[in-house]
Order: sequence, then C-alpha cells, then structure tokens
Amino acid sequence: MSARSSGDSLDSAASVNGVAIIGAGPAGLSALHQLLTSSQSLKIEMIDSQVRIGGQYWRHQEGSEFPAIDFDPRKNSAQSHEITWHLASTVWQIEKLEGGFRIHLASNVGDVTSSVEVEKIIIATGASERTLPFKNWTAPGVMSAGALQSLAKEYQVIPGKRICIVGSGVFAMPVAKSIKETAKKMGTEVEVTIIEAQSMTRWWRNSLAFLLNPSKIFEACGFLIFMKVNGVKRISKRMVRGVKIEAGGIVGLNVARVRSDLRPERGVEFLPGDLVATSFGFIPDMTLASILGLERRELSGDVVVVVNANQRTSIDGIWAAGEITGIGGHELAITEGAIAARDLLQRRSPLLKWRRVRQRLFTRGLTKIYPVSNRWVESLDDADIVCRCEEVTAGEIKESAHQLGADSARTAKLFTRAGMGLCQGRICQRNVKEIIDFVRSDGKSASDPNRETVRPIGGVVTLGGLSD
Amino acid sequence: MAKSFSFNGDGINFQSGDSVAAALIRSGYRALRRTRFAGQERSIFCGIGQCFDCLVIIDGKANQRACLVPAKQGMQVEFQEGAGKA
Ligand SMILES: Cc1cc2nc3c(=O)[nH]c(=O)nc-3n(C[C@H](O)[C@H](O)[C@H](O)COP(=O)(O)OP(=O)(O)OC[C@H]3O[C@@H](n4cnc5c(N)ncnc54)[C@H](O)[C@@H]3O)c2cc1C
Ligand code: FES
Repeated sequence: MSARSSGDSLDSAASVNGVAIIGAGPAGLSALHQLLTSSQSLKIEMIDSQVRIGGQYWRHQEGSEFPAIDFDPRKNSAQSHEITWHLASTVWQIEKLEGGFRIHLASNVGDVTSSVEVEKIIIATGASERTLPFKNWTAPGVMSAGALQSLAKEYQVIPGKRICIVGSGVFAMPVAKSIKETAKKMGTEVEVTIIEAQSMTRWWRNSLAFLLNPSKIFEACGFLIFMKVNGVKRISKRMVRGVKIEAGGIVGLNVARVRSDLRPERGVEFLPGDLVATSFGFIPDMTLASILGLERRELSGDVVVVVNANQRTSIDGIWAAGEITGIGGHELAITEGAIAARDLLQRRSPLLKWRRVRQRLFTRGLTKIYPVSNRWVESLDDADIVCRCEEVTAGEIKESAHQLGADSARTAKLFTRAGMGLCQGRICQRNVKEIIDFVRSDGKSASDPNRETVRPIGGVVTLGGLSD
Repeated sequence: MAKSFSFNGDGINFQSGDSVAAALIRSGYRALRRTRFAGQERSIFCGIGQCFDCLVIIDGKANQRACLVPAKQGMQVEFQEGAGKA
C-alpha cells in the first residue's frame, strides 16, 4: 500500500463497481459503517437471510429502536451512496466472473430467485449454535438457547414456567437475562436454572485476557449480579443425559456429574422443568466459504476461513469478517468488519488491529475455559437420535465407523444419511465427526477442513425457483 | 380487532412482527409436525431458520419454516404429517 496518512479521504477505491456485504450482523454492519465514510460514491448491496438486520447479536423486536445506534444504517446512510437492501434473501451460489462476481439470491418465502453483480464481496455470515444430542432432545419443548433468546427478545414470548438452560459457555447468561427481563415486562413468573458443564473457577485461567479487556470484567460482574438479584439458579459440573417426558409433556431432565472433558460419572440426578434449552457454543457457518472454495483451517476444533492481517481471503476481491474467521463475539466481529472495509477502501487500521489482538486473546481464552472434548459421546445411548432431519441414531453412526469403515462425517453421511437432510448437516455434522473420531480405535480423523464443510448450495431452493 | 390466522382450524391471535411459530408458541402450542420415519412430533429447535424442524403447511404449501414466515391475517396454517404430501 502506498504511504499515506491515516484517516485520509483520498480513496483510490474510485473504480469499485459495486460491493456486496453478505450478512448484516455486527461484522457486516460495521463494514457498511466504514464504507459509508468513503468520499467516493459506492454502490452497495446489503444481503441477509433474516427479515430484520442485526444478525444474531442485535436481534430486536419489529418496530423497536435498533440496539446499536452507531451502526444503524437508517440513521447514518449518507446521501452519496446507493445502498440496495436484500433482506429475507439467502445467497445460495456465487459465480466468479471476469473482474467480479455474480451472487445468486433466493427469497425465504416462495420460490423467487434473483442475482446481483459486484466487484468485491465482504462475507460476514456469522455462526450457528452448537448443540449436542441427548435422549429426547427432538421433543417439542427442547430447543437451542438461541431459539429461546429469540422468542424472549424478538417476540416477547416466554415458552415455559420452569426453564432449564443446559450446556457450556457464557451464552446461557444473556439468554437467562433476556427471559427474566421479558417476564418482568409481561408481569409473569418464570423460574430459570443454568446447568453448566464446567466449573466457575476455570475463569481464573483467563485472567490475563480479562486484564487486557477490562470492560469484560464489568460485563461478567454485571451478569453475575443480575442472576443473583433475579434468582437465576446455577448448577455447575453437570451435563444433561436426557429429558423426561410424561403424558402432558416435558417434566424435567436427568443430569450427570461430568469432568472437565465432559466424561460423565455414574448416576443421574433429576431436575424438574417444562422447557429445556441447550447450547454448547457456536460453530462458524462455512456454507458460502466452501461454495466459494475459500481456504479454510482448523482453529480450536472449528473450521474457519483463513484471512490475512487485512481480513482478505484466499480469493482476490473477497474479504471475510466476524465469526466465520473464528468464534470471537460481537465486539471482535465489529473490529474485523471495520478492518475489512477499510482495507477495501485502501485505508490502514493500526489501532483497530491492536484492538483485534486484545479481543482475539480474550475469546481464545474463553474456549480454554469452556472446551467441548469429544468425550461427551460417552453420554449418548445408541438409540439417541443424532441427525434430526434424517432421524439417524448414534448407534447407526457408530456402526458405520466400526463395521463399514467410515472415517469422517463425510463418509458416515454416505453410509447413514446423517447430514443429508434439509439442514444440510448444520446441526449434526460436527457431532457426527466427533462420534466417528471418538469410536475409531486409531483415534485418527480423516477430516479435512477444506472438504468437511462442503455443501452443495447455500440455502434451499426448490426446482421451480431454480428454473426461473 | 386482534389479528389472527388459523392452525388446523383453531384461531390464533398474533401481534405485528410475529413469526408463525412465535404466535403459536405464545398461544400454548408446541408440536408443529410429525417426522417421516419415526412419526415423532417436532417443534422449533434453532428458531432462526437453520434446522428445518419447524416445517408446517401454509396456505396449502408444505415445508414452510414456521420460525421464518411472518404471520399474516387469514393465513391457513396446518400441522405437517411427514413430507406434507396428501
Ligand atoms: C443463535 C445465536 C445467538 C447469539 N446470541 C448472542 C448474544 O446474545 N450475545 C453475544 O455476544 N453473542 C451472541 N451470539 C454470538 C454471535 O455470533 C456474535 O456475537 C455476533 O453476532 C457475530 O457477528 P457476525 O456479524 O460475525 O455474525 P452474525 O451476527 O451471525 O451475522 C451473520 C448474518 O449473516 C446472515 N447470513 C448467513 N448466511 C447467509 C447467506 N447465505 N445469505 C444471506 N445471509 C446470510 C445471517 O442471517 C446473519 O444475520 C449468538 C450467536 C447465535 C448463533
Ligand atoms: S426452528 Fe429451525 S428452521 Fe425453524
């Protein structure tokens, strides 16, 4: 890059013929925020499969104030740029053209498809939630913690009276908070219990990262105080073994004591409850990255997009930011989105890069506090369903490894159909991989980060839609 | 007058901005479909359009994700059996 003072407005991005930002979460909106400061007028395509902008973190009720004023594009949209919004539209294919890309979109409702052509792309498609299978986890009334949060936060719905949030990681705390706040607003009573697999004392392991990110100390204390004041119960070092169902529905769950590698100890305890939410962290969404053939690698057990210091990917003209480059939370996503957009505008970002170092240190520390080792597989019974779409059990997947020689989620899929359903393996692929790794006696996985996440198309389009 | 759609013939009130699933769960419903093989009841799981567990029939069209489709006045929503074909 040519030497130039920072904060300049002399964008040599004048020739940019169109930029698409795929994903309007914290990373994508932060990138947009930077692009809007360009003195050149830009043609920007904003694409998101959700009806409302904000991604996972800035979920909000329709008609309510956008939760992050600084990043609200309706407040900041400069006249000189042309922004086209494609909401409720999922990107399912991207073609490489001479000097650009053609992005194919499918509307969520109905079979409407369309396409846009751009020169540059910032992909910020975020993450999906990680859940682990257990007995009766397919029953109505068992849902991901994210689903519970969306019901409470976006729709003001409290779907139970005694809610148990089981899993591992910090996400249970904001979810519990959303429920309690919504219940208070509606004047209803709700009991909330968090069942965490790890011990609280592990937080000390991340003390350096906390010191580098003092705001996180306040945030953590804030949650702990909120939970104390609002009577959210916390149980540590326990993991769910199954949900108990009687004629009228869910009556509670069985939990077992686990070690830090999630290996269950003998015996179970019963906890009453009528709704079970579960979360074991997040998994970067590699769907578009694999369609594009972006280079990927493994990071703390996840497959992530490889980026350079300026968030550039292995393909010229494509940047990546946010959770798809490694799980890091909304603040890191904002920083990465800004760096990507600034690089696209040929601006430098030394301060943002230092912030990124601090923030990455913090979140990589969190993965050490809440590791999910594949020993959770010991909690599964052979009859438990692992692939929800194709109704494939743990026993069938184990057998495909023992008897048929499946050595990765990809080969297990061919033998058992696990991961072949409508969700395209989003929910089970990681779990199938870990079951296979766990049962193979050589302990070696044939998984390849640049193959495992390949999905044929990025969304579901019916044949009628494709032929338009 | 409250806005409503029907679920298997029952009237379901909804608020503006509701998804079909949010309105149904607010009204105390959980099961939305039965699976093709084991005939298990299912409801929402991911809540954000990724898992395809919340499939229902809307105005005669099968396999619609109840967590994504916005509720509309007069919509006819039905519990989906298997793949949703008669
Ligand atoms: C269910 C859930 C709940 C979460 N809640 C919290 C929370 O309360 N607090 C917290 O700190 N973190 C939360 N997180 C973590 C969250 O991932 C980050 O904090 C933050 O939202 C990451 O920002 P992002 O921009 O990278 O991704 P996201 O916010 O996930 O945004 C990505 C966007 O890309 C869109 N997208 C993906 N694929 C396509 C496609 N093919 N076509 C079109 N659009 C597409 C998605 O619809 C989404 O809006 C949550 C994550 C999940 C999965
Ligand atoms: S609940 Fe997962 S797609 Fe609707």
